Amino acid sequence: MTGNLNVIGYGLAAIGPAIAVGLIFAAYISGVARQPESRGMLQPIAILGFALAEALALFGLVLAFIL
Amino acid sequence: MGDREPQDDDQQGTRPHAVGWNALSYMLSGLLLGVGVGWLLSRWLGTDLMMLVGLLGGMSLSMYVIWVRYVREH
Amino acid sequence: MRLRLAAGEGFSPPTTEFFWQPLVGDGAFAFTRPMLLMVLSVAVIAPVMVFVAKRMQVVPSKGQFLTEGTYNFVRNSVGKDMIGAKEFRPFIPLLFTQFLLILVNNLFEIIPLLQFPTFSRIGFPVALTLVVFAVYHVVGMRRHGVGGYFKRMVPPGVPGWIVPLIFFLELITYFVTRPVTLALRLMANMFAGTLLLVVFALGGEYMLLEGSNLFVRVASLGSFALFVIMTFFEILVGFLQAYVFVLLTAFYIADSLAEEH
Repeated sequence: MTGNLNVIGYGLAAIGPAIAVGLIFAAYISGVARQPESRGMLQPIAILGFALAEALALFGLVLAFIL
Repeated sequence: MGDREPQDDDQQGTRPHAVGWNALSYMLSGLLLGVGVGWLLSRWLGTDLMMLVGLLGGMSLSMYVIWVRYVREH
Repeated sequence: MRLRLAAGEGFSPPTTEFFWQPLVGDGAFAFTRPMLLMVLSVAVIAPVMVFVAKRMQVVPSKGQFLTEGTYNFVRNSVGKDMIGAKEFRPFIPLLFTQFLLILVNNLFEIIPLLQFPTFSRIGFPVALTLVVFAVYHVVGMRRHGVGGYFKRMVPPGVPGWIVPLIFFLELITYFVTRPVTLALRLMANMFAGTLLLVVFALGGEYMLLEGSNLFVRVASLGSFALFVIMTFFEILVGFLQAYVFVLLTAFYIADSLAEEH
């Protein structure tokens, strides 16, 4: 079997952001479930947190390509 | 599935999902833009450092756009 | 960095070649299995929808109830919620057609004998995405004018020096990343799911038939069990991807229609 070690590295690196995205939206959902009126306040924070976590995954993607 | 009328100011139920995917689109655009500009600059200047600068710059730019579009309004 | 591992004796895992299944002819103009399935899906959906629509009753039959439920879901939870109660009506046919087509083709992945998701070949999602791409650009340019459409890409109230950068970012988002991610997400989900199912099925079969001792042969049950579990999971994925596709279509249309934020 042949392959590229960078891909395995990226696969491992993507675990962290994946868990982070899961945690962020889990917290968002439970927050909205408890207090539906807080949705307007929580949603921007959740989106921004998601973008931050996603940035890490994309850094990993770029590094997997250029290293 | 009742015929519920969403209020105008109410954030609708399915929106966060779509906004999340759209945020991913913005992040990818920032990545493309940053890496593209960084690659051109590093070819021009002859250093690989510009690639990293472009990457970070593009990411920051897309974070800023997401902040402007989806956070500042609230 | 290259990595080389010894493959297990004899068993060769399925590769991407699994997805190239020409039925008639070969090369660029072959008539392939996904093409047949796409024709089949249209041949199934269209008569059923016409039949149900012709025989509408006040007290719905089971079929009518199911169809109306799906239609109401797309109409209310996707179209109305995303585009808004005022302007969502013209887009409902597009959204509903897309949803049904993607859903039926995704469910083909787990229907015995068919067992191939049409949208795991990139050409099919690209064709659907081109329609979406044209719709949201044309709708936006009609509403705001061509110049106004590009002008409103930059949100108001940002410092002047950053405006060109944001304009390029939005340009890439509108014309590259949005359509590309839309097509790629659908294709990648169906592709990966099918490959997973094939790996579990072929791996289990190999362990059962060629296993060197009794333990390996019994262990193949685990592979088959995972195959069954993943099959149910793929039903969920099929629904979810059809939903996400129409959701994002509606979101892009809403974004093109929206006035200045």
